[in-house]
Order: sequence, then structure tokens, then C-alpha cells
Amino acid sequence: MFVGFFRALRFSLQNIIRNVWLSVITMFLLFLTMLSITLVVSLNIVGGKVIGAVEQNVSVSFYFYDSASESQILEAQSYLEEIDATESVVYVSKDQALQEFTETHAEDPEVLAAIAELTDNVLPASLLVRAKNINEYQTIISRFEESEYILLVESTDFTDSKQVIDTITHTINRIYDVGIAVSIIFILISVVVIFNAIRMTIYSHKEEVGIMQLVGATNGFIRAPFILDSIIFGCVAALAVIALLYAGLYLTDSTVSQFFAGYNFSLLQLYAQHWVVVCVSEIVVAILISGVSSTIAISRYLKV
Amino acid sequence: MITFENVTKLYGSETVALSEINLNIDAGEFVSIVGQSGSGKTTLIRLMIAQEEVSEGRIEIGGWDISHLQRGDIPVLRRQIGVVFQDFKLLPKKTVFENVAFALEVCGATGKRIKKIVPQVLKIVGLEGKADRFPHQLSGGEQQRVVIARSLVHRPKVLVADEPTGNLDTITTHEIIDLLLKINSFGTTLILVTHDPSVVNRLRKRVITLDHGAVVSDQKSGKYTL
Ligand SMILES: Nc1ncnc2c1ncn2[C@@H]1O[C@H](COP(=O)(O)OP(=O)(O)OP(=O)(O)O)[C@@H](O)[C@H]1O
Ligand SMILES: [Mg+2]
Repeated sequence: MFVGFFRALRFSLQNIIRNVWLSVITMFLLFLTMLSITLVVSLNIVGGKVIGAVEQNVSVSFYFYDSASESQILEAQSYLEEIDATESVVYVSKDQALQEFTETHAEDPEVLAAIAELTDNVLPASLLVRAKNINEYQTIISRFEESEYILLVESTDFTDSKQVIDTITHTINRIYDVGIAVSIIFILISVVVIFNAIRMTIYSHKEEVGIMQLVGATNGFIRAPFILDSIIFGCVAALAVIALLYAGLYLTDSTVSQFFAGYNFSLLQLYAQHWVVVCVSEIVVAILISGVSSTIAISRYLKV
Repeated sequence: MITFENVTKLYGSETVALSEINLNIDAGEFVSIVGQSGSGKTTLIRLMIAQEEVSEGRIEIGGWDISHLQRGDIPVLRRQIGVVFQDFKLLPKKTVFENVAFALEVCGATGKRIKKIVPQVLKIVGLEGKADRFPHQLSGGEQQRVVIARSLVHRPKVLVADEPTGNLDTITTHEIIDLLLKINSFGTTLILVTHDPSVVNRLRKRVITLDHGAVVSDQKSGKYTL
């Protein structure tokens, strides 16, 4: 059994070395294919994160007149919480508002000095509302405007980020579609090239195969070297992509993190945490692509 | 040992290569099969090694019905039957030793066994000193000896040879036939397909004559009668 496996592996390596250029080109194409698939998947992850991060920061705040009492504001809070579209409502009292303000401007002595000069707390109390869905802010705002509580509100702060998010989503989807199309083209080219590489290897081993059949080699053994060829193609391509992926992420990580400043997102970290999943899926997908095309070639051209 | 029972072989629906063949070959026999071109000799051999499947009837080898083998059983059969064909070539880029070893390698033999068996069979065919030569450095007769050596690596109970002397001169032909006789004398059943009357006449062994796919004569100690 082991003897058979190592012998088949030796035959397979001989195949690859004998047609070294064909093998290199085949592996390079499979590498490009895996690279484009990896980029599409990564883009999908990054896109999801970007949209998620932007959505996280969307909220609407209602600022109350100082004349509104705390109990009135809390009533308004419960009213907002009862709206279906509402995810959460946070009450920020005047004191908390001041505290947050000083904290965010801790390194700005001029602002702090200006605040200290004021005897009264000029910051208003507010309710910060998050919707379950980015599209539902308008509903929440109009429901609130219909209510009596609107009379207590001095101002409403809602920057409509929907436009921004739609633009991002649209752009990502466009890139994504192109990526998928490119990947599919690469997959098709790979399948054809691998199919032909294996077919040529089979042709150049016609005599050996004939002898093997007549001296009683099993079908499994006769096919094994060709199947191993395709597995080796897949492994080499996958390992090259994995190496490039992590090297690329490592080199660009600081730039990308800057871009995502404040969102605490690093693709390197994500891929480093899930390296087993990343490596296994790269290898499995690469072997799947080359395995399928070589299996078709073997079943068509290796009559046993 | 080998039994053909009403064996018919059609290629497509038109060509009748063999019809209603009944044969019984005992273990250790040396049988020559003769007949005109197209009479079905090669077909008979192909049926025995399951390269073709019978259309009707059955073939038994050593009590094993091989008429309709499962794919997985074919290698088992072929390891018990040595095959020498005229067009069953050597690999030009391998040495004599490697060509013979190849037959063992692809059947999963260990390196140790290969080192033991290959010199043994090369000795039987008289090529001890030429293990490191490449096929193009050998005469036609020597090349055919390598092919015979390769067919012996599994110690087959049956050796089938389809025109093994086709391209050889008379003296070399007789040397190859003597080698086959020697292998037969070790107890291997030998089935030899030949066109050559001088071979058959010299052998004085059993001769089966085929004509248009039928056995027309089967003589114990025959002469070539075409
Ligand atoms: N693969 C095939 N497909 C169709 N017909 C075939 C095939 N092989 C052989 N035949 C036909 O079967 C008949 C017997 O052929 P076979 O090769 O057994 O003859 P043979 O006795 O070996 O001839 P030769 O002495 O020329 O080698 C012939 O009529 C041949 O044309
Ligand atoms: Mg013939």
C-alpha cells in the first residue's frame, strides 16, 4: 500500500519534471485563479465590514430644551422604545453630556478653559436612538414628530448616511460583480489548461499505460500518478496564494488600518486568527478545480 | 487448466472472429495455435487475458470463470498470465533491468523483491550480463528475451505468446522457441501463436488450427498443415 503510494508519487513527480514548462504554466494559471477568488472573497469581507462600521455609527439624536423635565424625557424615551423600528434608545443627561464633552476635548485646553468659565451647564440633555435597520430612521423621526414630545425638542441631529452607504454598497457590488466574472473566466481557463496538461501527460505515457495494463497493475495504480499530478498542481498554487496573501496583508496592514481608523478592523488580524480555515479552503478549492478537470481528462483519455 | 466452452466472439454485430470454440488445455502443456491471417488467433489470446469479453460461452482458467470479469479482477488474472506480444514493446528510455523491474513496480512489489526477482528472470532468458543496456543496444532476439523476462516476473502459470518471433531470422527464432520450451519445462503452460511452419514442425507438440474462427484440427503432435 505504502510502496504503491510512494511509487505513484514518484511517477507523478517524474511526469511534472518531464513536462516542466507545461506544469509551471498550469500551476501559474491555477495560482491566478485562486488569487482572483481570494480577492473576491476578501473584498466581500472588507465590504461587509465597511458597511457594518458605517451603519454602526448612524444614529439620530433629539436634543431637549432645558425646560423639559427628566420625567418628561424618560416618557419620550419609552415612547421611542415602543416603535418597532427602534433598536435602542440611550438617555444622555445634561451632566453626562458635559462629562463626555470634557472627555472628548481633554487635550484641548482652550475649549476646556472656555467651558470652565461658564457657570451653567449649557449642554442639552438628549436621547440617542439607533434603528434596527438603516432604512428605518425616517420612520422613527416622523413617528416622533407626530407625537407631543416634539414640543420639548430644541433640535434633531440626523446626518442621513444612507446616501453614503448606498454609494459604498453600490461600488462594492460593482467591483464584486467584476471580480466574480474574472474569477469565473480564470476558473474556466484553468479547467481547460489542466484538462489539456493531463491529457498530454496521458498521451506521452501511452506505452507505459499499455504495459501496466498487461502486466496486471490495478486501475487505481494506473490512474494515481495523473490524479496526484493534479493534486500537486492544486497544492502548489494554493500555497503560493497563501504566501502572497499573508505577505501582502502584512505589508499593507498599517495603511489599511489607517483607512479604517476608529473601527478597529484589520484583515490581517482576521486572517491570522482564522489561518486554518483560510489555508484549508485555499487548498481544498484549488484541488477541487484541478481535480475535477483532471478526472474528466482521465475518464476520457485513460481507457482502462 | 484452460477450458473454452462454446465460445463465440463477435466484433460489432457483423464480424464473427470466433464461433463455438471448445478447447481443453492441461496444465504444463505446450500448445501452438496456427491459422491464416484473420482466422481468430489473436482474438483467442485476447479473450484469455480479458482484453476482450466473450459474446457467448465461457472460459475457465484454473477453475475460475473469466468470461465476464469485474474490472477489479482483471489485474488479478493478468498477474497469473504472462503475455508476449509482437507489438508489446519495451520502454526505450529504460534499461533492460528497469524494463523488467517496471512490471513489478507497477504491481506494488517491494524494492527488495524487485532486486531479487529481476536478476533471476534475466538469468532464465540468458541476459545476465546485459541488465544495464538500453533496448536500442540489443538485437531483436535479445529484445524479445527481455519481453519474455518481463512476462515471467509474476511467476505466471500460463504464458501466452502471440507471434513472438514475427520479425526474427530463423536461427534467432529457434533460440526464442528453445527459451519457451525451457520455460515450459519448468511447468508453465505455454500457448504460442505462430505463422511459421518450421517452428511448429520442429516443436512436435500439440497444434490447434483455426480457420474462419473455428477449430478445424487439433493434433497431439502436429505438423503445420496449411
Ligand atoms: N478490434 C476489432 N474490431 C473489429 N474486428 C476485429 C477486431 N480485432 C479483430 N477483428 C477481426 O476479427 C477477425 C479475427 O482477427 P484476429 O486478429 O483474431 O486474427 P489473427 O488470426 O490474429 O490474424 P493475424 O494472423 O493476421 O494476426 C478478423 O476478421 C479481424 O478483422
Ligand atoms: Mg494476430
